[in-house]
Formats: sequence, structure tokens, C-alpha cells
Amino acid sequence: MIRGLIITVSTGGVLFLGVLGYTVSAAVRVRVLSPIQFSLFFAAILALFLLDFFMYRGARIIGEPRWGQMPERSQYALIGITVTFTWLTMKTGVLKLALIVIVLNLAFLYIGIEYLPQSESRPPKTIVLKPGISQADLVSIGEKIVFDKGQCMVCHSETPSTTERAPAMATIGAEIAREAKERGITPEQHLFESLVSPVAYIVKGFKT
Amino acid sequence: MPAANESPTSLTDGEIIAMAAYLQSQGSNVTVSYPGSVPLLKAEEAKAARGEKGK
Ligand code: HEC
Repeated sequence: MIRGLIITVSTGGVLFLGVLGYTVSAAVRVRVLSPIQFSLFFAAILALFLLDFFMYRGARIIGEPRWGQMPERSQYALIGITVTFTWLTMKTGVLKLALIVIVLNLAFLYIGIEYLPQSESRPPKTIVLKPGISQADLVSIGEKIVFDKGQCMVCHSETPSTTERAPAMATIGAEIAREAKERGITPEQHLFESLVSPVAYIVKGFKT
Repeated sequence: MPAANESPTSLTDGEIIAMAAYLQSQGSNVTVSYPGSVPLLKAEEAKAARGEKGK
């Protein structure tokens, strides 16, 4: 109740003075009205703070504040504050005010970036090979890619059995060598083709 | 199966060659190398891009 009154009075006052600013000369606006607006604004914040302080004194803590989560109306209010400030500043034309707004925004930005939990994305790393890498290293790096980043095991099975979905991984080298011979091309060519142009050659028993 | 050098897998040439080495090691001799196999892989990718069918 009291909070509502404080907010209404201060907001109304600030807006009224803002509108009044249109009607008076710039000098009056800057020297008289803006300080009043500002004191109103800060007085309201102070009053609300004191009110909360006394109201919640001795209150039990029932939950942690959830940083980084904001009710939608608070978000609107936040944006509204900056817009109001900027708008009134434009009218009053005080550089200092613009500066304050910018500084305030940067402060919020900083708090947002530094202190609030952020979602992070971890795209798989690109693996860079050294030229002239040994075959053993190549094979072990390749194994990691097949099982992890390449997602090959979604379809291919690790056991020696070819499943309904895809040929078995465990014997795939031998299969490739055999099929390449059948096609009269090198195993490398057959293998690379399978990997970058899967529809070019389809293993017997599979459709696409 | 989806092409390894395109979305969603989007592997680089080096990664594909490493993978090929692993595949060959599963039952056969490893004949690919890096960067030795890059030209052949590039040729196959170009062929795939042109939409050529294998023989
Ligand atoms: C969507 C399921 C699926 C995924 C994911 C998949 N494969 Fe396949 N793969 C298949 C199917 C089905 C075939 C058989 C049809 C064909 O020849 O294209 C096949 C065939 C192959 C062949 C040819 C085998 C031969 O005998 O000629 C190779 C090599 C291969 N896959 C390797 C891979 C690698 C490496 C990956 C990971 C980058 C992978 N596959 C991911 C389904 C999949």
C-alpha cells in the first residue's frame, strides 16, 4: 500500500515535471526542474529501501534470491527507466544526465556479464593435425572422432555384426578393402567417397 | 548416411583423413596419411559437390 503510494507519487511527480519542462525555458528546466526530478526519484528509492528494511527486519529467509532471473514486468520497468531518463534528458539537454544514463547502463551490463549465470555453448573443437603425423597418431585421433565428434556410432555398431542401420565398425576396414577391389579403385578413394558422397556407392543390402 | 564434411558433422579434411585411418585400421592396412591424402580427399569432395555418381 505505502509502496504503491510512494511509487505513484514519485513517478507522477517526475512525469509531471518532465511534461512541465516542455513549457518553460531551458534554463529553468536545467537548473530547477531536473534537480527536483532527480531528488524525487532518489527519495522514492530511498523511501522504498527504508520501508523494505523495516518490513523485512527479522524476517526469515525462505529462499535464495535467484540472480539472473527476472519477472517480465521488472524487465519492462528496467527498460522503461532508461527510456524515460533518455527521453527527459533529450528534453533537458544535459550532457551530464546522458552520461549518467550511459554509466548506469554500463554498470547493469557489467553486473549482468560478470555476476549473473550465463549459458555457455561448447561447440566441438576442430582438431588440427600436424603435417607428417604418424599413422598410429592418425588412427587414435580418428578413433576419437568416430566415437565422439563424428557421431558415427549413432548408426554403426561397435560389435562385429552389421546392424539393420549400418555396416559394423569393427570390420569396416576389411569391407572397404574388399569393396574397393571389387570396384577396381583404391581403398582410399572408395573410403573418401563413402565419407563425403555417401550416396555414390551403397553397400549391398542398404538403400541409402 | 550423412556426408562427413557437411552439416551436421562438418568435419575438416584432416579430421576426415584421421577418421579414414581409423576405419582402415579396423581390419585392413592403413594407407591414408596426412597431408599426403589431402589431394585425393579434395578430389572426392569436388566430385560429390558436382553430384557425380560412383561407378
Ligand atoms: C545416419 C546413420 C549413419 C551415420 C550417423 C553414419 N553412418 Fe556410415 N553408413 C550408414 C549406412 C546406412 C551405410 C551403408 C550404406 C552406404 O554404403 O552408404 C554406411 C556406410 C558407411 C561406410 C561405407 C562402408 C563400406 O563398406 O563401404 C563408411 C566408411 C561409413 N559408413 C563410415 C561412417 C563414419 C566414419 C561415420 C561418422 C562420421 C558414419 N559412417 C556415420 C549410416 C550411418
